[in-house]
Amino acid sequence: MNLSLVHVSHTANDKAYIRDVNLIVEHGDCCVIKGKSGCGKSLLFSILSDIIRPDNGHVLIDGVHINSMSKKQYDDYKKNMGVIFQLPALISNLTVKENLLLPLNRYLTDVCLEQKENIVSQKCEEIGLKDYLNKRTEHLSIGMASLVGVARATLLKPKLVIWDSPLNEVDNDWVDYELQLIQSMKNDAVTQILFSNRHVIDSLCSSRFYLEQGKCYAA
Amino acid sequence: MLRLGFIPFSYYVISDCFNFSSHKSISADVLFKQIKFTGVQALTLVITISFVTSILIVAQGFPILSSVGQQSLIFDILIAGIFRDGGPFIVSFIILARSGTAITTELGNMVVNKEIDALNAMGISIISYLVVPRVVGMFLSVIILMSYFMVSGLVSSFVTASMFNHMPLSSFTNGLLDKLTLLDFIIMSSKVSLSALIVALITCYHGLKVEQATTEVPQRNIKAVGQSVFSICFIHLCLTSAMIIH
Repeated sequence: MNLSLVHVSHTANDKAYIRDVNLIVEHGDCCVIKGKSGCGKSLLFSILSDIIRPDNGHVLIDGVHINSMSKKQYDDYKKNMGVIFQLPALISNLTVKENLLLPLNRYLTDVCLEQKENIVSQKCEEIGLKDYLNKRTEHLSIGMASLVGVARATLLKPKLVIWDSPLNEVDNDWVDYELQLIQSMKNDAVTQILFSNRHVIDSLCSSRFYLEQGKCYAA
Repeated sequence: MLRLGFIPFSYYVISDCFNFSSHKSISADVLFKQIKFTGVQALTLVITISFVTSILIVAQGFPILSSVGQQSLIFDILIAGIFRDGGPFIVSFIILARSGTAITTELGNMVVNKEIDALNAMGISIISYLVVPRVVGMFLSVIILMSYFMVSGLVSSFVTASMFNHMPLSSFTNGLLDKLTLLDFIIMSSKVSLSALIVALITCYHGLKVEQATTEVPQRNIKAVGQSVFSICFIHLCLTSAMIIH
């Protein structure tokens, strides 16, 4: 999946802003976007994740403008995109299982519930949280909740992953898991955009960008 | 968070309500939870308020009406107090105080915790997943609540009337049925259903209007309650006036 930003500018709350950003992320590319606090990283993350539509400029997915997509094209794009937030952003009044079932219920409407529960159960076993399957998310530590957030975003085997601050909230034991996950998605030609200032992430990525005062530069 | 104004927001929500079956795979659970919270868990509160209100109407009204030889008017007062005016008004305020404020707080906190962003990123429509089940749930629950209110009000008013005035069940039932008309039920249903709809829309709207700070949640709650109170009073006044003119 290719993703391009063409002359994208946006201002939010009269504070955070990005100016005339041009960015091309090719299919299978793993790129990192770095920058100091307040440089507009979160805003760019929201635009790339299609949480915010920019004031000016174009966001193109496989060459198609996001605003001119048909409902089917848009659903396919959303199904194939996994977004991982810095905070886990799990739905707080749902259990771990219900959180993980959300994307499955949204996109796998012709699959029976039992099968979907099996997928969820396997994923939870993989991240060592099978015992927490029926617990509400407030019973999880931040690290555990982050892992559930990662699991939720990668459950449908997305072709594009946008990840804000990988490795930030997880325990040391799970840092390796996340690094391996990034490497395996890279091997599987999943397009990845990582927002991180960590050197260890830097070394995994094939292209690097630097964001400064709302402008994006190739590093 | 929400960029729409209240009117377009309400339009989208109401049109999506008719499209519920297309997204029931994700919305049905939220709908059942809303009905359970608003329509079932409020049972004790509604029964208590209805019980006390009916006892007060009969205990206070019966001796006064008896002293002027107009005992039969107690049924007119009961119909106005339980069925047509008082009951729907009290039930509307119960759903606002109990469920309306909960909705604004819950949705506001979801915005602050980026849960709404996560749903957006997953391609799950906020209107279909969060708002429509709450609106439909409130709409259905208010009918359940009003039924509790009527049954409890009738039982307690009969018990009070028979204790104070030794009124037999047959006289009570006949007296009530003589005065009760279809119009009373139409007015009652219109009042509670319109109030539930508007309270659900206003409270969802303000919950989603929170932008990023937790301090905005109580501020939005205050606005939602103020606008809902005004709307409930307006709906009830309009329908009562229409009935009086009729």
